[in-house]
Amino acid sequence: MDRRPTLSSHGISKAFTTGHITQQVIKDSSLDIYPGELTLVVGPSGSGKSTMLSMLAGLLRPDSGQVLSLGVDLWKQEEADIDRFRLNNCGFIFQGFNLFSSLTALENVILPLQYLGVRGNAAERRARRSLVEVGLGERSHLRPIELSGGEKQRVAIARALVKEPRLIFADEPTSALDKTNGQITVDLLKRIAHDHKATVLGVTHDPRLLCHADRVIHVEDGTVKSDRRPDPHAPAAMPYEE
Amino acid sequence: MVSLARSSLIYEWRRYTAAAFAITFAGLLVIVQLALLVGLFGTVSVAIDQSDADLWIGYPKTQSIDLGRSIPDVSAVRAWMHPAVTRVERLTIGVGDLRRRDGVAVSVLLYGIDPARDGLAFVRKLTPAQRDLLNDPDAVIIDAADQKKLGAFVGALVEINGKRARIAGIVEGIRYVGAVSVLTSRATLRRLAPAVSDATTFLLVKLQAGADPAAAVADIADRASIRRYDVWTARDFSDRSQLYWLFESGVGIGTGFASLLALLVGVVITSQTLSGAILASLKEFAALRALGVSNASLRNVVLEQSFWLGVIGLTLTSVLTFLTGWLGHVYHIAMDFPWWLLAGTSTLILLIALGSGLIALRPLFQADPANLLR
Repeated sequence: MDRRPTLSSHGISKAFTTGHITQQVIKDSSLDIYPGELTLVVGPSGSGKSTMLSMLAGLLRPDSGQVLSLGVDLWKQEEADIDRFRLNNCGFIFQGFNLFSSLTALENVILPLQYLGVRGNAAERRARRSLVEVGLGERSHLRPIELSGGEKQRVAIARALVKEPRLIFADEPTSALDKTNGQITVDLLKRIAHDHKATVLGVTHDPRLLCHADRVIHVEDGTVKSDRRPDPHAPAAMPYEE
Repeated sequence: MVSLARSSLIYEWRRYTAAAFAITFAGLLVIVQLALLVGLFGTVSVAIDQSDADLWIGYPKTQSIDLGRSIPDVSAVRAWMHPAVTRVERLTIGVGDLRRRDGVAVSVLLYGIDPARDGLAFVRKLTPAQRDLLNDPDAVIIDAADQKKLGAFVGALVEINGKRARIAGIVEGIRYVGAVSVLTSRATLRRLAPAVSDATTFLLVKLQAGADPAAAVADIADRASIRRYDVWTARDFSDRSQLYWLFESGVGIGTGFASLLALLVGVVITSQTLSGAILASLKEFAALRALGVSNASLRNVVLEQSFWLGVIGLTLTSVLTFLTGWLGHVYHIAMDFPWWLLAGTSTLILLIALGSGLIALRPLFQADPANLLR
């Protein structure tokens, strides 16, 4: 396994201001995330874990600090270049699935490919392959309303996967799901990390999922409290550098 | 090729129906208001537009055809002196009080025209047979739209300014916004309205084919230090009359204001409904943003959606406009649908639809996608 991080942050901070109150959500945080494994960031509500994920993913500009993503100094780029970087390299999975209700599962998965310039049969073939991988090959013609919550999240995973991205971000992917579907989702994310050698970074507050992750980072009040690898068969944890 | 815009319109048609109807009725409201305005003010100049004169001569600075005053005979002489002039015809306009058979009095505008078969006045509305009818003493012709108001029918005897007159015929399209129009011969007018008697209110001048009306206007113009008459081309005088009514009579401003209000209501309803429909999918759009789809691409999706809604709405508008026009025709309502009104309103409504779509996307562009995905 390549032990160089694909994604790393150096001293990033973020504060939100509401009215007269400024809240420091992330304080001078540095992290290295590695490919080929599922890394989960856990912490209570308001601990800043989603904010951290957004900054690492190129969705939210940090107030200070640096994010190196696949060797690119992300926040030094122009907005349009960041968009293009995400289009080419990033897949996203959200708590609310965010599938277009007017499109079938297949069409939802094809959609991002179109913006990459992949169209027609090639796009459909890739989308079907992606849906088969998440176990929905037989249900690709259904619209979101006809799918269960777990199936919807699997369509969202297929949508994230279809671009064959090197980075996959999952923000509370299991919050809206029951235990079984939550486990299916996390196992799927883990398999993607292992099979595709992708860097998969997830955020969750669900402690039941932690044993499925390759690496678990605990965040509280904007700072990392612990960084461990629950699976004894996994390689030893890299020392966390503050 | 998956079209997000079209599949969303088809799948969520219930949601978009409201927006399409908002566009439909905003368009209809504006078109009908303006058609009424244009139709109404078209009637102001009906005597000019339906006559065959190239030039009109009237009292200096007359602002509208209904505001004419008598002019001296020297104007006719000056007109005849011009080599290109082939006919000069007198038109006398007087006011009258028409008393219906049941005793109700109605104010009327009396046009004393030359009923000769080669006459110029109202030549586009009166058939030669109808012109001949006016040769009979006491004969008058009225508009079909005023028939009910005057309680009149062909052959009916009425009283105008206390004198007996007879409805000899009924025509369509001479109705005028200010008062009931009554056509008669100058000879009959002399008896019905002794006040104006032999006066000439306007001179209708016909030029040789190919003659330049603008040059003739300059040639015939009065050069006396105090002008005794003015000369206009028919087109100028028609526009002048309509503009006077549009801007100075109060009626025009009122109707114009109503049209503006209709447009404003249309804009608000359309943009609100469209915004609502697009806002409902904001999270999905934000998810696409996260996946790296550019703002420009999302803008195109919404513009395509708004465009189709505009097209659907305006298609319904045209059907309803056609129906309204037909009803207006049946009930003799002065409405006019010139191409520039229809094209202008359609373009405007389409732009409003597109603009509303863009406004609806603003929250997406202003906020980080991260915040919308919470």
